[in-house]
Amino acid sequence: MGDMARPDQRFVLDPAVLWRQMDGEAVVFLPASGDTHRLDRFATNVLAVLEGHTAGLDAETVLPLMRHGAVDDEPVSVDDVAAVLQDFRRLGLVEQPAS
Amino acid sequence: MRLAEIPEAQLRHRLAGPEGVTLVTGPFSTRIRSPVASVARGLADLYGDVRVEPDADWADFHVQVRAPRTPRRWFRPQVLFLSEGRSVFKPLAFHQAFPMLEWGLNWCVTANVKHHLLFHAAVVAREDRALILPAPPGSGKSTLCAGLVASGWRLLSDELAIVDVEAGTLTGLARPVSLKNASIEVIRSFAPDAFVSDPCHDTLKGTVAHLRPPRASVDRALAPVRPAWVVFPRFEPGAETRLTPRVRTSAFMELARNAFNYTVLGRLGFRRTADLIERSVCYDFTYSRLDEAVATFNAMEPPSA
Amino acid sequence: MPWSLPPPDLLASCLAQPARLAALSLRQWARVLVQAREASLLGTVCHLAETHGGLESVPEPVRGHLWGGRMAAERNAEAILWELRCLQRELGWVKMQPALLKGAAYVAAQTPNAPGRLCNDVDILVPRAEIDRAETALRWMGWMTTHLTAYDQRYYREWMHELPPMEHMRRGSTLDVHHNILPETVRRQPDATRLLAQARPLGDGSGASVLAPHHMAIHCAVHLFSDGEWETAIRDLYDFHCLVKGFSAEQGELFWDALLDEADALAVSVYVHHALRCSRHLLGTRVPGRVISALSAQAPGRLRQWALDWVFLHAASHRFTSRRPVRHAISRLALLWRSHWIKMPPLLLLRHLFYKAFLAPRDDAADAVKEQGAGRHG
Repeated sequence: MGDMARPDQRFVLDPAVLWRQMDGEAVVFLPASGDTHRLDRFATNVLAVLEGHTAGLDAETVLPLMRHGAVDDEPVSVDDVAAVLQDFRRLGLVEQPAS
Repeated sequence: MRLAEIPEAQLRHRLAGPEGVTLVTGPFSTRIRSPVASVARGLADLYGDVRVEPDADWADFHVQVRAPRTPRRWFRPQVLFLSEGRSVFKPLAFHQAFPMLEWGLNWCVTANVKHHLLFHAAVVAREDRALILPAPPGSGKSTLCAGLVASGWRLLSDELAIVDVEAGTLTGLARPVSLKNASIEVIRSFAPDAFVSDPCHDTLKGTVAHLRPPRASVDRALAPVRPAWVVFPRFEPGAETRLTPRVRTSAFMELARNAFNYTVLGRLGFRRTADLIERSVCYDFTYSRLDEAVATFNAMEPPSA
Repeated sequence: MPWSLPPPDLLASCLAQPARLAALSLRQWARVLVQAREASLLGTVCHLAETHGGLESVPEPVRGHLWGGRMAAERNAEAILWELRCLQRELGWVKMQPALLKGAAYVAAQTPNAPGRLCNDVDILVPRAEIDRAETALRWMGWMTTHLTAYDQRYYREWMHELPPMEHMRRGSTLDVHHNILPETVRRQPDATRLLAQARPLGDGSGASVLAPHHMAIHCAVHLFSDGEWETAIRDLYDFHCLVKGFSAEQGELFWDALLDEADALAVSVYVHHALRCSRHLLGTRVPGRVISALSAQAPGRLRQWALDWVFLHAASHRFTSRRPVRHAISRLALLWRSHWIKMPPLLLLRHLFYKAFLAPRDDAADAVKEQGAGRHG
């Protein structure tokens, strides 16, 4: 409830999540729920940036870290990244870092 | 000892007796008991090359095919498949006893086995590289599987991809390939030398017959095979033969949907499925002509791994 | 002789003395595997083999099946814990904190019978007065009621001690919401407020609780010995055996005192009597003499006791490997009748059976699922 995409919200990848990148996209497995999801190239790119940043990242910091050319030529905005992060949160892929 | 080495009268006698006959198909052994003549006949016709355990102390599964013990057996006979004494399907008309045994043997594996990763898929191999054909019924997977086997591919299974959870390799069952309706004639004319059993009519799946597994496939059932191709077949009347690459993540999701115990195995299921997909090239395949389809697969080069 | 009591199955004697597992021949293992499969105990047997001699001492073809059973149980436990987290959220917003029952409680509280145990659905206990509120809250959160025929709805709501099973529309999981441990129709219904008043929070921050040790054991006994379906009876008895053994080791005489007192206060001593009797016979459960004699006041007369022993012990044996299939069938049928008899006054029972026999809609799909054995893990 109150799932507004706020660009300054920081997220960290749930360390229990398993994921594999294939052909530029990814499949992810959430051990707690047992669910498997497929991510498109853009979301995969965001996920790859999140991994390793245990302090958490917000959409603003994720954007410049994303690989250039990995995303289709369409311009990408902070809002797009923020929307993906919210999707991740809904799926249980990311959580908010204990601050 | 191979099943064919037991004289048919003795086979019938042993099947009807309390010990039954224990067949070894790939990694599993099954103790079968049945007083039904068509079951003995089917086993003799189709399982001749399969190994039997003479005095089996052990079987993975214990099954029976027999008539229900009701008065009905005298006027409109039916047949039951029992696994460990429990009837697992609705009774079928008596003449369908052998197809019922085949379905039941698949059921035993899918219902009980959690120590291998199992997908609903046909698997054939060339040298030690596997072609995996995951598909729902009606996709022409069994026909394709039978056509490839009749053209020299090694049969692992027409229904079950069995993945070793440690090595990620595939193991075969080398049991008969089930053919339905029109595909019975297709295979008979495609491979006139192959043995196809007499059709059984009016089953839930229409008319059913079985292709005998080649002896070489039976003997090598346990030799591990590495995944090479994952192909999602679709039979479409009149269609051109068409092989189109499929994005691996999409192949992953589709394969996982066709799994029997992917969720039961949790992380391990995910890892092994991902390994399998990563080591394979993935395609969608549409076909209507079996000879062209077989030629397409014969021409495919395995990925280096 | 038909009146003699059957000896424990091989599976039961291995559960009683897990050290036996290391010495089983392949032929004996084949028997144990079949019996454990039927009772949903593969994971448990795997756990016992690992802790008594190691899985390496198990013959090769058996090992895979045991390992698979444990794998399935571990994944099942994870799924149950996930379900409990979701449920916590779904009931937390209306400030309800139910007590977990049966399998979900064992998994969440890590009772001694938990390793390797499978459970299919979540059972919770809420106060009778709050059952409607719980149902409404759950419906809002995506839980749908099953058993939609008017008769079934009435059967549950008027006569049973639980709501019709609910199923989550997205997750597909099932939930049984209880307000007591025996139906409304029993001659003396237990006072369920005692159970909730003594329930213990799990201490994992979830806010959920489980029954106090003595109540957990009592509920296990009541559940099995009022039930008519005994396919997994040996599993339930093993639960009881483990609970009693574990709790009495922890709390000593205090546990036995609480067990006796509460069984008496809840008017269910006779179930505890039967459970201890069976579990002593089949699993070698150690019970202090004073507990046995205190409960024998509840025992039926000698002839009835013999008949009940005969029925329970035959019914607890495994059907397929039973050397006495006819006695086994008779005993299971007897238990089915007995369970109806316990749960309903005669006139109501007559009406219920009449409905089930002649008026209930035939559900072929449900039959098929049942035949495929899908419904056998309780």
